[in-house]
Amino acid sequence: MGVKSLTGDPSAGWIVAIPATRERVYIDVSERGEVRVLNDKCRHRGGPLHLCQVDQEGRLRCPWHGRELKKPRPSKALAVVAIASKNIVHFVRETAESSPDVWPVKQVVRMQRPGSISPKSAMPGRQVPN
Amino acid sequence: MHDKTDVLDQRSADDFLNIELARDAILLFANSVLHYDFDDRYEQHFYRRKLRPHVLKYLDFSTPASVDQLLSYAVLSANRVLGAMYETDFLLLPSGPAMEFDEKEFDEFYAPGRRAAAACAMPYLEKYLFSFLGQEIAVGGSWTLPRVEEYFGHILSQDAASESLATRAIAASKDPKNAGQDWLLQLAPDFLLESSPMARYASGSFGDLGTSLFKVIIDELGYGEFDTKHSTLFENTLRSADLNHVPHHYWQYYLNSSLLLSNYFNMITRDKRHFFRYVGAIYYAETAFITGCRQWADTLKNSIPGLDVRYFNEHCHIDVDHSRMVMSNLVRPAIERYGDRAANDIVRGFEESRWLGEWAEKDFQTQIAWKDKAAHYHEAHDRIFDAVAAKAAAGEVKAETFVEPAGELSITHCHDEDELCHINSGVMEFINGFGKSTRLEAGKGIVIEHNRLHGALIESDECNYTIYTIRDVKQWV
Repeated sequence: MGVKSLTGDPSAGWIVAIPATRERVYIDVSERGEVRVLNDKCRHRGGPLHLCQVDQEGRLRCPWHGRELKKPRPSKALAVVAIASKNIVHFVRETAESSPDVWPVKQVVRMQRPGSISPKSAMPGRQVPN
Repeated sequence: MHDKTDVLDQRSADDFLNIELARDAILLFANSVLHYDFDDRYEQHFYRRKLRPHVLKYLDFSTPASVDQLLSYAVLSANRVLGAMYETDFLLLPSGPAMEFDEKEFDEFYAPGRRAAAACAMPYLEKYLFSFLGQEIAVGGSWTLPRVEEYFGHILSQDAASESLATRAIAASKDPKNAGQDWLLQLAPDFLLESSPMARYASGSFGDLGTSLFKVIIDELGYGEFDTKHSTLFENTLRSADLNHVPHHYWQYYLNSSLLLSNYFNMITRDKRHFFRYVGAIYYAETAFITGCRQWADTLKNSIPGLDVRYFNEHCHIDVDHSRMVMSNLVRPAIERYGDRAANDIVRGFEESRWLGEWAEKDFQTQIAWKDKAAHYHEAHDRIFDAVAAKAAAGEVKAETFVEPAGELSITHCHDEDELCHINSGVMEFINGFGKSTRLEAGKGIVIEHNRLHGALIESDECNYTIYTIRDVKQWV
């Protein structure tokens, strides 16, 4: 199936796992209607970037090894349409021609943005080993 | 050395998107005999469109309307003004034997000063009316042609299986004939000038996309035969429904949402940056019409005996071709040639057209329910009037009294909150909407639901009435 339509707050975060290509994609929609479709795997060891926390300097850090996420990488794995007042999000991929293309979607906590968290919940900056 | 980029030497305006300049332009455009209030229940003059211009100076269009404001009076007013401005792009001449050509009003309609004012005000009104679409419909990620095709196929198959809200409203109405006529006139702002917005893309230089679009335009215009022109077919439909076929004869009865939809197609054809949005929007319209027109025709035939449904039958037939032609010769080549920008905008236009169409049907359904509840709201007045009047006397409810002479028409409008109309003396014909009135005598009145289009006509020599702002009728009942 090439289109999945899910009901839920479009401004929340969503994770789409695509086993066929070993991709994991993070999606969110801002209140202004801007869509982010990002590669959810850290360049380092594939840590889940949607779980990044903001350190005391306001920088995003991967939860696995604390590496700084300087620039999230856009993903081309899928396309998205969200209708705010209907609370519906459509995720779109090509229909697989051969084997069934399985790609589960789940709602997650919205990914933080740099500098967006209160100092109380900020994780301390960590030394990243070379 | 002379700086050849040193151009500006402004004397009156630094920016033609300036809000104050646009506001002045709106007032100047509306300050015309074509737009002043007049006591015609329906438009009797070919070039006139009532805008309630004396109210415009109190409205603020500087902050874009949100989704929950789309049925407000300010939006209705902006829609009427913008619709009137767009039509100065098109040649309109009375063509029937019963219609007189008023040379003076013809010149006024296309007066250069008014056209210049419209050019200045239109981007401002478009921003006010259509910015909400950017927040309401989010389109992103990586759109490729296969994904666009996958998505369109998925949505269209869903929509084809769903029932039109308009047909449901007509079938369920206490007065199906009136509801059917009302739906026909909600379609009129678009259908009586059908293909005029589309024809804005008949000119220019954009390769074979232009030629492909022109093939659709040819069909819309009746491939050279006036009798088969789509607007002619719709005129015949109106005649067979005992309705007037002259464009905008029912101007006052267009709902906010009908005007918004019609204005949307004008906006995306007037501003050429939106060409790809238009391709998506027209693909949705051409495809959805295949089943939509069948549903409308079936229901309308039942509600209006003897209705000429050739307009709808033509679309059930030709839009099968148009849908395929637009996909093959516009959507696909546009995405292949212009990439992400085209793909994103095409999906956006498709969804916007779909959203606004659904919105229009939902608004119509609510309006029919409001008209059907005329007796209920008439009786509700009797139940709540004493309490409302007491609160008004205590200064807790806003009340405003009007004294109007015989024949005075309150041009149709809507309120942003529930109101109570009470007749102190005289007789008023309260217009609940197209073709539905409630006679109000002294001591009587009616609850006016927020956002619902209504008007009033004074029957007695004089009528003294009070409008109470009751905000939400439920708190009184």
